Amino acid sequence: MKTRLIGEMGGYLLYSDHLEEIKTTKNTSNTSQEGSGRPVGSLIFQYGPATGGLIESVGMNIETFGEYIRTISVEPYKMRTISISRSIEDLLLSVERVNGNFAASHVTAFLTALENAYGVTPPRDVILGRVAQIELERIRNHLLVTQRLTEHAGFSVPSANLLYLVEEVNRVIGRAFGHRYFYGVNTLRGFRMDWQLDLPTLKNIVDEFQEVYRGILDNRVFIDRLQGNGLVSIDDSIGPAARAAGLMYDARLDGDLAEVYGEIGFNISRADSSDAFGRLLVRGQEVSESLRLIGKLNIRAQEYEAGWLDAWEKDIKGFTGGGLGRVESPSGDLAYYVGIHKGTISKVLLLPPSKVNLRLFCSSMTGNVFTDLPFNWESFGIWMSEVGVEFV
Amino acid sequence: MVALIVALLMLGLSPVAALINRRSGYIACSAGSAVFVYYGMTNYSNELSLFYVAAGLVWLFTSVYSLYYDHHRWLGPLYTSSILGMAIALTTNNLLVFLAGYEIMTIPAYVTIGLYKKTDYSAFVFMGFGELSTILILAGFLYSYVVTGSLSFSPLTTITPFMIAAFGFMVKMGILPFMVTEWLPIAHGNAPSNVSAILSASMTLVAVYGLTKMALLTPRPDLFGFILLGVGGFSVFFGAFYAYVSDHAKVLLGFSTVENNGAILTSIGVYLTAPTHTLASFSLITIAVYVLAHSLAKTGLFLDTGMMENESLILPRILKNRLSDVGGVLLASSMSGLLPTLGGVATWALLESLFMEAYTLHSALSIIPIVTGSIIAMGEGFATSTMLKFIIFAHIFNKRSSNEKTRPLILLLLGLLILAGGSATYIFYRPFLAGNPALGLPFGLIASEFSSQAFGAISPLYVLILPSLIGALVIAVFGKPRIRRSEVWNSGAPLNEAYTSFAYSNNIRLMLGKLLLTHIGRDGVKVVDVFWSLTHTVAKLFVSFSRHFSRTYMNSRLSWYVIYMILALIVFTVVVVA
Repeated sequence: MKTRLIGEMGGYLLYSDHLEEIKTTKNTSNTSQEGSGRPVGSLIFQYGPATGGLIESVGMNIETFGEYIRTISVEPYKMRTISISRSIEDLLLSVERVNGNFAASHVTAFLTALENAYGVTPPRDVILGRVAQIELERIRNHLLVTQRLTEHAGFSVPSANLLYLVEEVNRVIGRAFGHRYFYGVNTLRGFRMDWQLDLPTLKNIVDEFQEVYRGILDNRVFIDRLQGNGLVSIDDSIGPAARAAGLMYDARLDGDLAEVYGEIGFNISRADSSDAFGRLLVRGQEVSESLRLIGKLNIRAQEYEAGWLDAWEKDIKGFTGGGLGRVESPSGDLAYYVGIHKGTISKVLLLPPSKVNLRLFCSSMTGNVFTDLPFNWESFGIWMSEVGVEFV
Repeated sequence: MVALIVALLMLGLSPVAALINRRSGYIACSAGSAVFVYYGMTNYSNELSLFYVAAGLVWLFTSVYSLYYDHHRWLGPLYTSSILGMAIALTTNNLLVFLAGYEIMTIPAYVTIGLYKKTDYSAFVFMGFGELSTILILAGFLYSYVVTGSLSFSPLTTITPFMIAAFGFMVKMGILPFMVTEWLPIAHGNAPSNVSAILSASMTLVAVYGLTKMALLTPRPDLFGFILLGVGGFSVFFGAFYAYVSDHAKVLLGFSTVENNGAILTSIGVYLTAPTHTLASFSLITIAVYVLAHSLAKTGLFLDTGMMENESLILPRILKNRLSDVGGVLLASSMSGLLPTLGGVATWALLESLFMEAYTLHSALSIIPIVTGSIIAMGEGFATSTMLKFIIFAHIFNKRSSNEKTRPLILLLLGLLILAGGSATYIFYRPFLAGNPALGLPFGLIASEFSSQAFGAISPLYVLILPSLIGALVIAVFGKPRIRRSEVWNSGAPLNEAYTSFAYSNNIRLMLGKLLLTHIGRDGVKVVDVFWSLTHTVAKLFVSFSRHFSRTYMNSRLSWYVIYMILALIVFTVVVVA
């Protein structure tokens, strides 16, 4: 499989098969580029951070002549530093709270990095459980992204319907795992599962979603807002944005869980329009695909065998090394690098998908108009909460 | 008649006085203009008399303003000479004298533009099209002389002289497609504000006067009338359209003049094609009212630009003065066609006359005034947005402090005149006054009529009085409104950016990009006046062809000279024999 660039992670560039130290400066800023200097008549319009319309606090500086957006820069409003000077169990709690919507993805990537560092392979059921959690997260996220798009179009009925479905997914997750955002579910020992996953309900949710989804796809007004909006065709894109451009980019094919995905017969979803509409199409297909994958997993609560953990804990104090964990979160590649020095965590690097998507969003906004901004923004499924995070 | 002689004498003396002393020239011109207004008011015979009043008022206000504005040695003599030319053209009944006045009006304006040039070609473009106008008018007048045998403005039995001269007048008015040369805005863009005011308000008024005068003497032509009506409608639309996307204050106002002249031309078209005498009378009054409204408001707005530090609306920095703010708003309201101002009445009357014509024609031809009316309505929408833009960016943002009172006072007076003028139109629309007791309006209505039956009605007086009364009543009962001011909230970030006039109209640049050939590049967004672009291309091709022709066939060779002589002899013989 072709090596692909995923993004910048600390002082490194993360590729699909290796991590490389940055030697030359590359534009990875969250600013769209269209020439230098300010043309006469242009102005900087500040959108946010405390402006309505978007779920999170986002500060956008939009350079415009009026309607036409020349450049846009997005600043993470909420900068957070997370201390790594504590126990792994405590750090895990912070990791899953970096972005509650992608908690399972974050924790899985973090734990995989840790396991890779130590050279530990978790039991297959644990891996299947993590896959199921990520796929459940994907269903919920794609429903929410679709809802956000319909809300910006002023479609109150499908919007409310989708919010209801998001809530239903949350309840399914909550009943099975004890927490609707997977908080406290994953530990070093495995994962917690209180109840069997309610697959019939999940199927009903997805069926209802598909009905709503087909309805909004029939609406020309809605489609017009998405088609041609936020064109992304650059090679270093990730997630649904890359797949909407027809690229075979998916950590489920080349990430740490690729083997499992391959075994259960994962089918990649793609489109060929590179725009917000393409991203919606990919998400719509992925909801059904995720349901199909979950149905094949037959997961149950599982913990490491005692022998694994004992050997691990015994070796912790003298261990020095590092590992990388990468999974396909609902918005694309999510990676953690964990460095360990003499048994304690000395370095944690995070590459959240929203960081890459933010850059893609900015580059795709040049030439757009204000009306298209919220649609393009939502189509990337960006969560600002995970962008401004630094582990120190 | 005595008043006219006195006025012309004073106006004639003013250039000489201005040569000796700039202020005395302007004072003489002001006095002459005031007498000219008096002459127009006291000798009100028909709608054309209103042109005298309009022109006189423009000169009066502009001359008084110039006393506090002009600091250039040659501007006074040139300015007053141009006004003298206009006065001659307006008051004569002789075709040749009219043309002489027309040239006296044009040439000093050309020199002024040349003196203040920013680009070499602007004065030449102005002069080139000015002379094209003169040549066409001259041709029309010559044909008139051939038909009538008189050098006076006389009733005609054919429409041909009118048609030829009409094109000449339309060039001067900047009507489509002559708008494409952009001479009017370019010229205004370079001229000082007082000269811009007379160029835009009264020089085009002279052209409208000539056109109207010829129309009154011509048998009413159906087809040509409809052509004028349609061309006027498109001029309104494109004038307003280009004004809306202009950020140069004077270019904006120049295009606005094209829009207003288009409306006047449409009204002339309605007059020529009106199926009933009543409708013709109504549209004739509308022409005069439109001329008065445009002349006064445009004068005020151009004088307003004289108080700006620069001519860009993006950063205008105008004098901070409440008087000029109120005056500017009133003038812009009139230019937007809002009641109860003079412009509001004129716009209403124009649209009414178009719809009345469509109704009375009652044939397939009705589609022409209906479509034209719709186009004008769209243009008026742009015009309102344009004026809103002008006022917002010239009077609300970017002010600079000043203690000057006189020039803002002139602006306020013009604004009040245009406000009161709306209600003064009862005088001009005398045959169309009505009341509707059932609505509690026993009098004070201007009713549009195409026969003995009313078609529609407005009441500028009630619109003027009622809001004032209600406002006064509210203040009397509840007291002066309390205003609470708070700091601007910019999402918690420092406020160091301002909305620009360019951004205000950029939506249209993008939406109608195909019409404006919008180009977005590194330097910003650029639009093209497609008509000007086309004219420029044709002109360049013609120059190229001429150069090629002259080098090939007119290169002083004896052989070609002999060929010309032989050809000329043959043509002459054929003409004589025929």
